[in-house]
Amino acid sequence: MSAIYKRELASYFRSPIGWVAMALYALLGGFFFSFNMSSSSSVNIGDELSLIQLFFVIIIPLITMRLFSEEKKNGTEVLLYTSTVPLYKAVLGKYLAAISLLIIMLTSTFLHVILVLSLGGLINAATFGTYISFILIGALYISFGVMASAVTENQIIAAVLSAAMIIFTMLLQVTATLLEGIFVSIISVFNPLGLSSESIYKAGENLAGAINWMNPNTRFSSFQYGIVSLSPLLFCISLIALYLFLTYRILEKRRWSQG
Amino acid sequence: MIEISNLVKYYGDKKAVDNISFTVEKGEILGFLGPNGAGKTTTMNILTGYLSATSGKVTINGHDILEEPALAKKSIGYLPEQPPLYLDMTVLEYLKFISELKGVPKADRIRQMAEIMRLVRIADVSDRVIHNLSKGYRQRVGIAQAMVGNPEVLVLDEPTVGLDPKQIIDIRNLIKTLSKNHTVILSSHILPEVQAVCDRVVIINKGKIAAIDTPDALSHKLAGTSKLSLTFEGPYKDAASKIRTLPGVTGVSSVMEKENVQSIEISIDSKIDVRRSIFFTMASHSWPILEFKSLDPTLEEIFLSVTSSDEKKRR
Repeated sequence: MSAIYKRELASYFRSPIGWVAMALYALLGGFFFSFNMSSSSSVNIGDELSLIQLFFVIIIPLITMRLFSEEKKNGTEVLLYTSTVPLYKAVLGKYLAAISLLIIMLTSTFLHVILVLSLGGLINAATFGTYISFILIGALYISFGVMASAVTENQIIAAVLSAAMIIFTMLLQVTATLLEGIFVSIISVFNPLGLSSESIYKAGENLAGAINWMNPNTRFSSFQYGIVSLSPLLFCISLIALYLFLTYRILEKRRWSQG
Repeated sequence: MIEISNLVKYYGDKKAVDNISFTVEKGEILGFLGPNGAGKTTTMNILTGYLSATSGKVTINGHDILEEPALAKKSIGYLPEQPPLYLDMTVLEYLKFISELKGVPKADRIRQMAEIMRLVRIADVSDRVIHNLSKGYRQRVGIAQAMVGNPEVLVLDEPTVGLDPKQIIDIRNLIKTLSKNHTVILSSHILPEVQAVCDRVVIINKGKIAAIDTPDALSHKLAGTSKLSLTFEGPYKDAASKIRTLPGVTGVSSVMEKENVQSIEISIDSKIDVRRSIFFTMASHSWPILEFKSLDPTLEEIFLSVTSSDEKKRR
């Protein structure tokens, strides 16, 4: 597994992908940081990170799209299937390599932390909470990307697929609010059960709550205030485990495929 | 060493591999011969654990490839049809990666890689990026990859396809060298290649085994259908009728006629050697022989002969 991890991480930097992703990241981070510095009185690293998080839609597909699809295309996947290393370790190795790249990219923001400290800014629990939620949400999105990459041998399709999954997750909160509104207005007009308006609103809220229950972004919102709790961590890790398991099954299925 | 029993693989409705069974002994070079789409690659993919069979069983050194994959795969080195190379790595980086992947102990890695690179003669390109190597070198790096970890069995899928004649000879010699310490399974659709290298040949057609035998025995089976090619100066009709009367000749057909030069094909019953009597017949009529040779049976003829004899047996 360590062989696959090392090769994968090194190959990011043999191709332009690793450098491009890092440059993109440093550019965005620097831009948001300086923008924050000049526009508001208090400087908060958290704002910068949550803005960069929006660009996961581009960055994560970029670093995950080739993981399995390229192997499939070049015929090197034979090595993974016929080596003594079990397939799930190959999945883990590649996944960890992508996470490592994400963390390496993150180091460029440490410079901003140092700057903030030297200017007498505030680095507190909220900052750490934001970092943790940033990495975990990134890790979750990477697991989407890993799975998308195992589905197809076309890198573009893999990238589009993972971007779509990320956008879907990002829009969960908007979707929840939207559905809540639609639900409440429809039920208010027809109201077949004769509910009071209070209970209709209550039901609408519950619907939105149910959708947001699936939303990692809202689950982690408390982290941005420095409140680190266990439940979002477990939620995120089990989702990651689920997606990696699916990836493993998709790869394993190919072996048995008769199509 | 390797036991394959009742292997079946379906692709949709198509039976790519149809109930194949054979065994390979230690130290043997087994040739896998068949036209494109016969099921050679599929069988090799199943044998190496890349694909799983619909039904049937593969054991290597007594280890089932599905139930004890780690133990079974440890003794196999595989070169697929398309060598599994990471084009962005140098040869050395690539072999290092393969050594790690196959779990070669750290202390042995350098020594083993040097030995392999010497054997397949790629030491001079060890620092070059694989992307920049020619096809012949890539193929050799692919073979080197299969040899890492010193597996007892090497499975090589069409190792000489797409190479130039000199490279083909190189690779064949390499395979012969390797066979001293390895069991080799090799697929090809070129008959002379298999004849030159292999101890035993499995002929496979439409997913089924058509014949398993030594190359000599296979050509013996073909004895009934040998042919001679003859080019001479003289009239076709007279010569043909004279040759037809010779004992052992079963047929004469014209291949080409150019002015007074005739090229003909003579079908013979090869239990009788007719070459001398043909020579004296031509000489007595002063028809000078310009070229005279026996035609090697082509793969197609082997197939026709093997499959038609199968059908005869059934009848």
